[in-house]
Amino acid sequence: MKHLFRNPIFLSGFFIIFFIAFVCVFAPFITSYNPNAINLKEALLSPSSRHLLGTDTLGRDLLARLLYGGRVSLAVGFVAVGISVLIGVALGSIAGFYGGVIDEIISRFIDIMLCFPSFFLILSLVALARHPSLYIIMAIIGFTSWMSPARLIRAEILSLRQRNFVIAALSCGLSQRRVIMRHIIPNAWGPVMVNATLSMAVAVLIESSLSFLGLGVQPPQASWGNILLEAKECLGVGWWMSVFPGLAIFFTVLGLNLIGEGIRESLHK
Amino acid sequence: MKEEILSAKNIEVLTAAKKFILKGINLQIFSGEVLSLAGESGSGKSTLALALTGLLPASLKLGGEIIWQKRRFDLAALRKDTLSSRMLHGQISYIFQEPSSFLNPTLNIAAQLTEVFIYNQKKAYPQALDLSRGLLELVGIKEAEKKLYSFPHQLSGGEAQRVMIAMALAQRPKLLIADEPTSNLDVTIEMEILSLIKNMQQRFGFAVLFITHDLSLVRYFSQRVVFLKAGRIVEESDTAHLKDTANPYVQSLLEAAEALQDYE
Repeated sequence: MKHLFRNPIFLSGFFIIFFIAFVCVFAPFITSYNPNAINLKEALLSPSSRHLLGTDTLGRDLLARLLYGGRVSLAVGFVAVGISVLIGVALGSIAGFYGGVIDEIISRFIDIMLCFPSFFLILSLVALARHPSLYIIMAIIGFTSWMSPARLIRAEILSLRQRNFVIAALSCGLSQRRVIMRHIIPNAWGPVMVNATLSMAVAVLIESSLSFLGLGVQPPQASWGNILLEAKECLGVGWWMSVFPGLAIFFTVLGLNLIGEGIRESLHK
Repeated sequence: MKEEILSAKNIEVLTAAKKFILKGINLQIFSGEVLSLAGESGSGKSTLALALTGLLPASLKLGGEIIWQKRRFDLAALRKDTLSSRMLHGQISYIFQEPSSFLNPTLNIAAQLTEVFIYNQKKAYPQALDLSRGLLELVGIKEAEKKLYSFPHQLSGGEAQRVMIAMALAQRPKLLIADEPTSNLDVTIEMEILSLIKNMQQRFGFAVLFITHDLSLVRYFSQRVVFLKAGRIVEESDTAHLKDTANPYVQSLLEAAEALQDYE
C-alpha cells in the first residue's frame, strides 16, 4: 500500500478518477440545473457563463447531463466489474484449488465463453431483453466478462497452493474452504485488482457504446453514450455536445488504465 | 514398554514418471520420545515427513498406511478424506525450515495464531487472542503484545520459528514433526530454538520426529535415530551406540560430522 501511494502513475490515475467520481456524486451541489428539464427557448446554446458547457437540442444543460450521466456510466462500470470479479474469483479458485475434473470442466467452459466476440454477445443479449433496465445492463456486462479474472486467479492459485504457508495452514488442520478464503485468495488479489481496474475501463466503454447505439440507457435518463448519440445529429452546429462527453469518457478510461498500470508496477517491487 | 503412537507401514512415494522417492518405509514412534531422522540431502527426509499425513502435492503418488493411536489410515485415501486428515492434522503438528515462508504474508501474527483456536477449537476471539499472547510469551518472544500485530516480514528468522512453534503448540499435538527447524538460523539461535523445543517436549509430553542432516544435533537431541538413504531406511539405532555402527553410510556421515568439528 505504501508503494502504491508513492507511485506517480497510480496517483495521477487515482486523482483523475477521484475527481470525476466526486463531481458526479455531488452533482446537485455543482450545478443547479435539472438534467432532464427541457427548455426549448435555450436550445443549442454554446458554452457561456450561464451554461458552462452549453445546452443540447432540447435546451437541457449539458454540464448537468454530463454529471448525472457520469453517475450512470461509473455505476455500470463498477457494478459490472464487481459481478465479473465475484464470478471469476469463485470459479477460478475452485478450478485452481481442486484441479482434476472440476478444473477441466470450468476451464473448458471459460474457453467456450471466450469464443464469443464479447461485444456482439452483449449486443444480442441486450436486444433479447428488449428495453433493458440499468441493472440488466450491468448484469449482462458482468456475466460476459468474468473469464479473464477467472483465468488469472486460477493460474495464481495453481502456483500458490504449492507455497509453504498453504502447506502450513493445511497442516494446522484448517478446512480447505478456510485455506482458500483466508490464505490463498488474499495472496492472489494483486493481479486480479489490476485486471479489475482495466476491465472497469472496458465496461465504461461498453456501456457508452451500447447507449450510443441506442440499446443501453434509454433517454431521457442521461448517460455519456446517449448524449453522444444525440450529439451526432448536430455535429456541425453544436461541437460542445460531442466534445465534452467524449472527453469525459476519455479521461475516465485513461484514469482507470493509469490506476491499473500503477498497481501492476507496484506489485513488481 | 512405551506405547506406540505412530506406526508407518510400507510407505511409498512415486513421481508421475513412476520413479521412487521413498520405498518400503517402516517406522515406529513411541509416545514422548524424540526420534531423529537423518540422511544426506535428497534422501527423502522432508518428503517422508509430509507423506506421513498425506500433505504431498497431488502430482506425487503415495502408498502405504499409518496407524495413528491404534487407528488405521490408508495414505492414498487420506488425501481425499478431508475429515480424517483434518483430525490427524489437529494432533500432528509441523515446524519447518525457512519458517518465514510458512507464514502467510498478508495476515498478521494474531490472525494466524488465533485461527487455530477459533476454527479448530471453537473459541471466541478475545479468548483466542489471550491464548495466543500466552503462547508467544511461552515460546520466549519478547514484546509479545507488539509482535501479535506484526506481519511475517517484520520478524527475524528466529522469531518466525518461535511463532511457528507457538502455532504448533496451539493444537496441543501428540506428535511434533520438526523438519530441519534450525538449518537457516545462526548457531546461537539454533541452540535456543532446540532447547525451546526440548523444554516444550518435556513440559507437554508430545513425541518429536526430528529431521536433520546434522549428526551432532542427533546425539544432543534424541534417543533413537533412523538413517535414510536414497529413499530407503538403511539403519536404525540408539544414539548412544551410534559410534559402534557397522553401516558404511552411517560411518561416512559420522566421519563427515567429525571432520567438520575438527575443522571448526
